Amino acid sequence: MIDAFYIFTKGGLLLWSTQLVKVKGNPLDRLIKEVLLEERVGETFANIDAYNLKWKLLNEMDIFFVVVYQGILQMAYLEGLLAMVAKEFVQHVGNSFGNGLTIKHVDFDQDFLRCRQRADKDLKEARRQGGMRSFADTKKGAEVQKTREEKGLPATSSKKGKSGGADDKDEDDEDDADASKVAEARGKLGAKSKAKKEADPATAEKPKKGKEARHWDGGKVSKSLMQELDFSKNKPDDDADLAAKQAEFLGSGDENFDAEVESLSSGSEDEAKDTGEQEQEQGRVGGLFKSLTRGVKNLTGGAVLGEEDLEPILKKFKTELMTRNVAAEVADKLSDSVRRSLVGKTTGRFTTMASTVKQALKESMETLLTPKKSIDVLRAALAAKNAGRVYTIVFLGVNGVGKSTNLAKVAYYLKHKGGLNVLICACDTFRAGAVEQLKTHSRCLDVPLFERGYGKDPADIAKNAIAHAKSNGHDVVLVDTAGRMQDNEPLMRALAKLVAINTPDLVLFVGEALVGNDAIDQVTKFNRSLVDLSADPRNPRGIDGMLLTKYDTVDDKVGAALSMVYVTGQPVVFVGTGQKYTHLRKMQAKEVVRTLLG
Amino acid sequence: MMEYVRKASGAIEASLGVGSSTALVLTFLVILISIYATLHIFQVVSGSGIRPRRSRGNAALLLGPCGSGKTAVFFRLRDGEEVQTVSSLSPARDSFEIKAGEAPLLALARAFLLPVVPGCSSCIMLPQADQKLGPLEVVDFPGHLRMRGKANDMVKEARCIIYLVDAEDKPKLKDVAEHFYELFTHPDVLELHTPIMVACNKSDLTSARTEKFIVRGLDRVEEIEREIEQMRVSRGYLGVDGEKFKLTEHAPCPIQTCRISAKKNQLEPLYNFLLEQFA
Repeated sequence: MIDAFYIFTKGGLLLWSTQLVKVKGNPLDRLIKEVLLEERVGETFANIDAYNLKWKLLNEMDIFFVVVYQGILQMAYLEGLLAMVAKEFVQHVGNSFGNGLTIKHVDFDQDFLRCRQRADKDLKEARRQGGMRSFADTKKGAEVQKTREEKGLPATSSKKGKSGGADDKDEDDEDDADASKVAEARGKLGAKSKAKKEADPATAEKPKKGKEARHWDGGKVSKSLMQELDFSKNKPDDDADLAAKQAEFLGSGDENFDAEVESLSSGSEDEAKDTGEQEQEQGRVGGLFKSLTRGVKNLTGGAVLGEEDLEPILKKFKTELMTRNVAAEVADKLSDSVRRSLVGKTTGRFTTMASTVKQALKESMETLLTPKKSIDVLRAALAAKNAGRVYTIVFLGVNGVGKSTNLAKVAYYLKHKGGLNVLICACDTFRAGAVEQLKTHSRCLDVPLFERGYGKDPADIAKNAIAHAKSNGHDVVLVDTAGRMQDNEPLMRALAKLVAINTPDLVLFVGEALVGNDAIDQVTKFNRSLVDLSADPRNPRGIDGMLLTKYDTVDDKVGAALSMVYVTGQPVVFVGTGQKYTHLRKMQAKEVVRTLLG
Repeated sequence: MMEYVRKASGAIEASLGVGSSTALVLTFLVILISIYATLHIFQVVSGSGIRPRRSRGNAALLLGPCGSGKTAVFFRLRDGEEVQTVSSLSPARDSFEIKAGEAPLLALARAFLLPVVPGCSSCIMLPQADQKLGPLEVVDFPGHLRMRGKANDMVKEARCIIYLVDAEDKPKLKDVAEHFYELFTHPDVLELHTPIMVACNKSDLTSARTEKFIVRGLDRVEEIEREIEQMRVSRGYLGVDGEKFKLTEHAPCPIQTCRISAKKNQLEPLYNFLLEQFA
């Protein structure tokens, strides 16, 4: 089953953790660094080492819940467990949580055990019923559960004074309070007569009952399901005590429970009809009022962001990104990630929702484009020189993107800035005139060229060139390869062989800034074939960085940079900005973000 | 208030020649619009726009690579408690009082007896046992390289920077050196001369003799200097030509070094540094 469970804050506090089985390595750390920090929060599942990790982010409190397991487990089970633990945890800490800095450790062992047992029981139940899934186990059920919790959570966390466990009575009171608020609002708007108003607290709850009643028809109902759906909420006032007690003792009293359900469902069907109309009316008037308050809050700040608010705003930004050449898939994932990290948050003072979303998007894009490793090629080359090694860079990419031209630029940079002794190696043994092109560059730059003509094996030539460099005191070897389409299987294999045999220090993918959706395809397929065919399968070797060419021709359509970086997770090392040797720059993350978001 | 509104509506009524009720509505509209406009202006002013960038901010900024113990130090400074941490995803900021004499006498004595890295003047100063500091704002900024751009943006908000380095994590020093380079060439640091305390954390892990301790502490600083030296070749700008780069001499801002241990609660140099900066 599950191996470990972690609860931690975005600020880096591990609030609670348990390891049911000793976890090898540190999958959690890798999850944070490789998934959560890479703006891939749109997903809620990752596979790291031998482990599977699934997580849930509670935006209101900035807490992550992570479950670590091996093998295959039902998603619904995990989702249920995460939701249950999250709910339990919020109740446990109550409103003493504050800004997330007051609580440093939470004693959660007991509660977790209870949640797990409940989830396990659910699972067993589902299996016993011959694979028929209960509503709560289905995707829809989980969603309903989630939305309900998202709505309910802020209320519970702010209102509850108790830090202790669940107390059904409390919730009862809250519900009543909500209902009366609704009634009040309606009264103000003059939508209903007084007589009807009195019936409101009861009727307001009815639609819920009507929906849930369907679920109980399925057959037996477990205690956990009961607690999840929390029927006691919907009971009239005078039954509150009874409900609390029932909830407490439900484990033993299944019969009693069934009877209660029976009464609830029979009652609700009768009332379902006449509440229908009322609900509609309430929806219209309440909706108007709500949208008004939302509109004001949108201007003054302090609005809680919901899915439905974010959807249109993000859609707008998404299309904007796509017109600037960001690949559709990347724009999708990025906006997913931003949405997930914003739902449930409150906007700051005097900031509109749109500006909040824009800020979040800007920040996440900036984080993405900031390289996570050093991209100082010259420094690495100098370090290699000091260590007495030859520094090797391989340039690869599809046809006509400017590999040779930019190789010459890099040669110029290393030679003039670092005073390094560079050797160019011509491994394009395929295209007519490729070697001659490099010969011209070599003459202009006064840099020696290593070539063996056409038709030879490029991997061999590169190997000979490196050996030649070693014996002749060259510091850096720049290997030029033939351009190839990413779908050309045999050529890709030849390229992977070249990389595997020579183990270069840097594998630079050269790509055009002009490319749109194809950027993803190119870069993933090049990366994939290198990884698949690398010499050491345990330590696969992919692309180390990108060189973006023709950057000066794209104006504000710099989306390719974002697409490539997002897909590979590797940085853009250089950008080519013209025809001259000096037209080679480093990319500025901020500049790109500013261009992309207009 | 109402008096004023009535007067204003009277004026509008007279000047525009509309009915009194219309004038009242118009007045309220005008008032609302002006309130809205003021709020907007206020927002712009309180934002980045007009404020002159002459003085440093008012926060102590905790920087350093992942796993160097920033979050641990943050909570040590705040509560004196040890906490369990994971890699941070977002900054933690809080303002609180720091009591320099919080550490028990034994720890004080040990800190005083501990050999200190030369060039660290504040380490030698005896911490005043009863001196309270603050409340001051401390920011713990995530150390992941992806967050570095934002970390550098924080510099202008900082009164001083505490830069934590894991004394045992040698491979990370390359990244540290690179970050120092970025900081030293950052316009905010150049303009504001933000003081930086380089604190080698986790000094408790070296169980070796005390003399070796010194060597190790210095070792780290020297290592950083060597890396920066190499970057000077590849990027230029820093230091003086023909001289070896020295952190304490050639940096554009005051630099101090010390060794601490968040685990053993040996943070006296940090207390002193903060006392010095926020006095």
